[in-house]
Amino acid sequence: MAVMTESLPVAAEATDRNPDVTGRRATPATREEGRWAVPAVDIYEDDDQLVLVAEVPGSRKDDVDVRLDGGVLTLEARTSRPAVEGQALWTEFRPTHYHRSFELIEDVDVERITADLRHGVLTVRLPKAERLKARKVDVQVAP
Amino acid sequence: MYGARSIFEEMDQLRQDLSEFLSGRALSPALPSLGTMLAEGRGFPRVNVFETSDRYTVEALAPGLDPESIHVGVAGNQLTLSGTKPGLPENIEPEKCHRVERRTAKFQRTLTLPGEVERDAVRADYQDGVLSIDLPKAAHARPRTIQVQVG
Repeated sequence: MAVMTESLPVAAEATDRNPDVTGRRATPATREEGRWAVPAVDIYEDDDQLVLVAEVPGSRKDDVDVRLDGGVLTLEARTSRPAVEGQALWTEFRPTHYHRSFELIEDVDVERITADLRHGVLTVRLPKAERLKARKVDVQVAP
Repeated sequence: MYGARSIFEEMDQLRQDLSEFLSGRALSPALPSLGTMLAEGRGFPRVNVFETSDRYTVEALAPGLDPESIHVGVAGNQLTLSGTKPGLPENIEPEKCHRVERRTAKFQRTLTLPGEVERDAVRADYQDGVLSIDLPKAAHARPRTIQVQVG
């Protein structure tokens, strides 16, 4: 008989570190000029890793900063799109920078974290530290 | 969790959640058309439209599209954008998804421009999750400068 041991939810949002979009509780990084938004994310896990997918449209590779400090994972992406020529007839969005932080409850293998930006979507893969991976435990059933 | 968010953002989140539910993540794939309708109703992707004397420029905020699925159609002064925005891998169990905030669905959106455009000269470019469409105005729709003969 095989039993799976699973780790508990691995990520929680560090709300107190999130910048208020209005700037009232802005963190040092967000005191600069420009608009800041909280990007939409998907977070899921499989046996080996935690995956965080964040939407940062308008940001290029060089504009993205992902860092893990004191168990807090911070994503920051800047937008530097040139203004479009002409008169604005209709406006539904404005260029914005993105900032969001998450507190990692469980250990990840810091050395092997990877980040990839593709079509305005940032994917951060956080491999679970070896001891946290789901383990298969064989249980002997008494006859 | 949403302490720093306004009520409007909360409501947007609720709409997103409902849409994700209806777009088939939680139900059978028999309902994709409903997901499509919702995406249309809420105006995805968000767009900006600019005009100069000889062209319109449309920018659509559309991160994570399948580039092969993007379709830009022009008929008269109507511009139609459609495509597919894939979500999480399908084999992830619901209890392994800690956040599902991204809107994913098939979408179609039609915009009516103030004037006709030169259909064959329309160019579209998808970069960094932003779809930019350059639409030169049709010759008869451009402003004309009349040379005044001074006798």
